[in-house]
Amino acid sequence: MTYRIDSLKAPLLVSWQLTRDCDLACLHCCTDSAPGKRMADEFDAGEAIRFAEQLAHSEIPYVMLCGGEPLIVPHFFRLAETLGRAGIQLKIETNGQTFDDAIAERLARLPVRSVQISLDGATQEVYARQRPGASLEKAHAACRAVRRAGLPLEVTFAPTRFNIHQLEAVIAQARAFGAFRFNTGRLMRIGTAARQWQRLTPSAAQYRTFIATLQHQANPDGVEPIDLRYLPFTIVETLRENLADPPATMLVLPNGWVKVAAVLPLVCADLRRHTLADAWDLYRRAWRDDTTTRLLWSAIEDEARHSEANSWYCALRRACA
Amino acid sequence: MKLAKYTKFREEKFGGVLFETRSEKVYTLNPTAAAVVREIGCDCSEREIVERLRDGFHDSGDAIALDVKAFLADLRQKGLVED
Repeated sequence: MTYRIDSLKAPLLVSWQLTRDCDLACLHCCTDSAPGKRMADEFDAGEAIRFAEQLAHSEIPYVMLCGGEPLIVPHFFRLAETLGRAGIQLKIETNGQTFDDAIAERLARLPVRSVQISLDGATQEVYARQRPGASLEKAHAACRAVRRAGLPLEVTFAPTRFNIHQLEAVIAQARAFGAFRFNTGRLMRIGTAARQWQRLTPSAAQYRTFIATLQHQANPDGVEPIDLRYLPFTIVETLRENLADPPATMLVLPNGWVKVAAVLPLVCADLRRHTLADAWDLYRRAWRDDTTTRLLWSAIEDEARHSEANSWYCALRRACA
Repeated sequence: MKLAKYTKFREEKFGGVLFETRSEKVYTLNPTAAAVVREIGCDCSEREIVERLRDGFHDSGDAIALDVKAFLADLRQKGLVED
């Protein structure tokens, strides 16, 4: 069998988790990020810049910078500007707590495809229940700063028992801010969310109402159009699609390890030891490996296995030897 | 004519890919389609692109012109190019 990725000379998208450190400790976090949770072996500034330069020379069209909170990384702008100067389109995923006009204006000089801000509630009370200590007003101010600078805004919403009833109000807010896209889906059972699962996961009835609301909200007359993205709704559906057509996306962890898939604990390359080209080759081989297939089916058959996603290890022959 | 703001083109052994990063849609191109998109990169008018391809493929008839115009119309309709 030949996959589409076999014929591509490089990834089409690199999702780069710059740090696990964050200024918030969200209950639903899928990356186990929180204040002080920087990994001991994260790339230092020099290593990160060298990797950004590799990306710049590898005809990668599109890079997502995420975390943790990417904006608290001291060399964030050096990375973004290295990538941007090469014409790479950038997506910045932020909680918006420190995002102001100065940041927006500096980003507006780069080829930014979008800034994605998490709005996990329509009221301060609900928002802060899921994001303890966070300010909804700061997140809203960040949305306004993005649009004032002429940058495309995306909003993301992670549904939990706490906020799922506010979906419609959050979509309305996203529309009012001029977001072009609204991303949501079933809560992922990964990281902090997995440990808080019984407390967070919405009921089946809540999800039915949630999906009905999304269907109803798909650009009714008289409101600002917005691209509502919620399909595939579950990570399991995504995994089934990936089995037939593995994504041309490289997931890079803060220490330079490359993950095979977000919900798998499997690492296939180490960018301290491998070039980007070698890592891409190892990634493509990983999708043919029996270990990957076994773990993928395990994750498809049992959602509880997703909670192991951040316990990374390398079980692939050749890759990490 | 030029590629739309959020469209990226990359040449590949099999031809090329157009990646519309807003929708995150990927379009696979055969070598002929990739040759057309390469010409779009020069920021020329549609007429100039057609002429350059006719010259490049040594075509004195209308065959290439019709195919290229249809392909460019398809790219325009998908929002992948802009004038």
